[in-house]
Amino acid sequence: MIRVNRLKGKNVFLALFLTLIVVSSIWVSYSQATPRKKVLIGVLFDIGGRGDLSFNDMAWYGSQLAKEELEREGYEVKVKYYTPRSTAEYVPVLEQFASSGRYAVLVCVGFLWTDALKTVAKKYKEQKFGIIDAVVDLPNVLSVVYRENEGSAIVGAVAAAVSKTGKIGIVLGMEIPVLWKFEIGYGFGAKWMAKKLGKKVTVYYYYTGSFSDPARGREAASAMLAQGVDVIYAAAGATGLGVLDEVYNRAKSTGKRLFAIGVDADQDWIHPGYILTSMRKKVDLGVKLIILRAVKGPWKGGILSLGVKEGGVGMTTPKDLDIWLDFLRIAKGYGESKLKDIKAKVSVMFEKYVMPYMSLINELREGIINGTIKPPVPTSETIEKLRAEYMTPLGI
Amino acid sequence: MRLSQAIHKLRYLASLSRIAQSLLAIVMGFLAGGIMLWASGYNPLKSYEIMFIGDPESGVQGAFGGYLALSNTLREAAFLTLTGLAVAVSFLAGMFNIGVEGAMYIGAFAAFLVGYFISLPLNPFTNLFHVCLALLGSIVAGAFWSYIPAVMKVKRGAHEVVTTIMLNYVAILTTKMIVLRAFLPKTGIVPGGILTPPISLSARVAPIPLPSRAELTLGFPLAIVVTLITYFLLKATTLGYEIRAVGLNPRAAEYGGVNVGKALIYSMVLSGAISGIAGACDVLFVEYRFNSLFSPGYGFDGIAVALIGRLDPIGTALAALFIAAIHMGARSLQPALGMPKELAMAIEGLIIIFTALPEALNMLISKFKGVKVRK
Repeated sequence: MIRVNRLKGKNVFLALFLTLIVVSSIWVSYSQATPRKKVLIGVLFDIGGRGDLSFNDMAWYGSQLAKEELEREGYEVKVKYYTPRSTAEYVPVLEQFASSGRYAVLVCVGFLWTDALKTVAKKYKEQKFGIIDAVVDLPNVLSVVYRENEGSAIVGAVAAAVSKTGKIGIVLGMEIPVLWKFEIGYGFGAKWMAKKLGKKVTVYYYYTGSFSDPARGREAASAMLAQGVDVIYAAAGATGLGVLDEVYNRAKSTGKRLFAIGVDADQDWIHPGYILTSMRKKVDLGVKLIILRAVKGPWKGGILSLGVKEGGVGMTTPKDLDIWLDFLRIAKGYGESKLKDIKAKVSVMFEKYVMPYMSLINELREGIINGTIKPPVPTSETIEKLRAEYMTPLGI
Repeated sequence: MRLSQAIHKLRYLASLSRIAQSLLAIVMGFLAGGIMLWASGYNPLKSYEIMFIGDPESGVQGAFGGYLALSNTLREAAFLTLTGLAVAVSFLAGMFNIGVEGAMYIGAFAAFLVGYFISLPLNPFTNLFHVCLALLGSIVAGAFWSYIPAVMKVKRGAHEVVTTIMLNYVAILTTKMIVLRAFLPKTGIVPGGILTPPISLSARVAPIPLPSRAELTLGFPLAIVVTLITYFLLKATTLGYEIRAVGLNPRAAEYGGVNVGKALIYSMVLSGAISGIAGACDVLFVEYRFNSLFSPGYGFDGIAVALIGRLDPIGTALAALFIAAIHMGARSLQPALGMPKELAMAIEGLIIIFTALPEALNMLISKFKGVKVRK
């Protein structure tokens, strides 16, 4: 009897032990085999799509950054892209994506999506959406907008500091309220720097009326240069490319010390050594934030305003060039030596002309971040007054 | 004697096998598209499956892969059926009318004017009345617009290809200018569009709800009705007979007592009226306003549609469904396969070209020979 009991006890012990092993091994294998959380993300580009080395490419880059970050945290991420062919496609395509119910978030890149998103987001209330550069006031939409006036103030300060003639300019696209932020911000920053340095700076502005006409940009830049302007900020989309070209050509042919300032993307590489800096608007950051908030939370619809403080806008330095050089390597097939040459030229220029004023520029930057310096946000009521204070119209 | 009998027999066979020819052309189109897909590193069968059925992974539906996709395909097919018919009735009379796009804009704008400036108390009767009135407005406006190049051709011999292409610019840009000057201040700034304010409630037709939140706009049933009317007009009336006779051989028709000028003008007026209806579909059934950029080129796609449909009303309607499905299906390729937009468009174009080729060649040959061989 005793023997039997003891044996039973042993058996119980053995059984317990075996159970423990089995359970733990199942638990271990289960925890290992737990499928990684799958996430599907949709990014809908602006017309034109990838390859613009600017807006859309930045949006793509942002989605890749978000993907990498999520994958490090154990998600399995797939990003699906769509480039529309015409505005007529906006609603049906967006609705297709939304109706599938599979996407963690759908990111609409560019303000052209505004109307389509309004229509579709109302119908698919359970779907999370994001939009860059526009506000769609619905609870399931996260709208990312940028405080371009802050970034423009910083490049305005750079322009005022570097200018020798005391005349700087800004060439703009269509006159819409968003563009006022570039204009007045630039003037504000320039006047701030002029006061610091104790010099007089005149800020000329000119609206070309177009975002896609480099020839008119060239004309406007030419007229400004004729006035004695030596630094021009091109805030006009593709029209601005004409400004960059004109400044470069004039500097080359006359040997004068002339500079341009780029916008949106880092355009410093376009004419290395002739573009002081670019007012970088980080579309990539906006896209990344929308995706991360939708997937990991905390998700809440509304407006997300990105300024200097959030790193959403700012001036570029040669350090920022690396991502763009990568793009150039992939998209344009630039060779290593050419890329190195670009980087060297930009660095030399930056060191020589911008670095001496870096502490003042940083002072402005800190001031904007902690709120002691506030570049004004123009509205239709205040624009005339602000213009009178900061700007000088250019007569062509 | 024997030879002529043989030719007769051959012609008979040719007419019998026109459906077979069309089907063969479609197969050729898919083969050509397939070769291009294969050469670009995509699996053709998988790609076609995605185009017509869908892709489970990305959740996008192909052209016939679900109610939502189907409703989109049918909406597009409605526009293409109408523009295809408009092209077909003018081509049948031998008029190379490229002006359907312009007449469509004029029709849409007329429908908008009737819908915007008249406002009726809302009940089913006034609703029906107002919509019919707006449709009538678009028919009259479109017909008038196409009457211009027809008269220029008949009275002065101005070639219709030149005049209709130029009138397209006039129509599209004039309506755009009017919207910019007169209506945009009331609409306010809408990103990416030059739009008028919405039309009155009594001029709108709500879509028919389908399962899974899809909606069928009224354009499709209307397009079917217009197809049947056109079929009847062409096959069972004197006018239709005269139009076809003039198209086959104007001199013979004239000899046979047909007033050629009148037949040409009528065919163009009919074409313009149908184009007008196509424009009205967007205003009254889809957008409820005039969008100065509403057409992605329906009027020009109509040419391919009419050719694939062999200028036959029923064939045109089927061809429109086919092209609409290709258009819609090609959209799914981007998200499903990561295919670039440009390649998807090229595949689409290739399929359409190959499918339209036989009738286009037929027309060209007959044009050069001076005598139509088409039945």
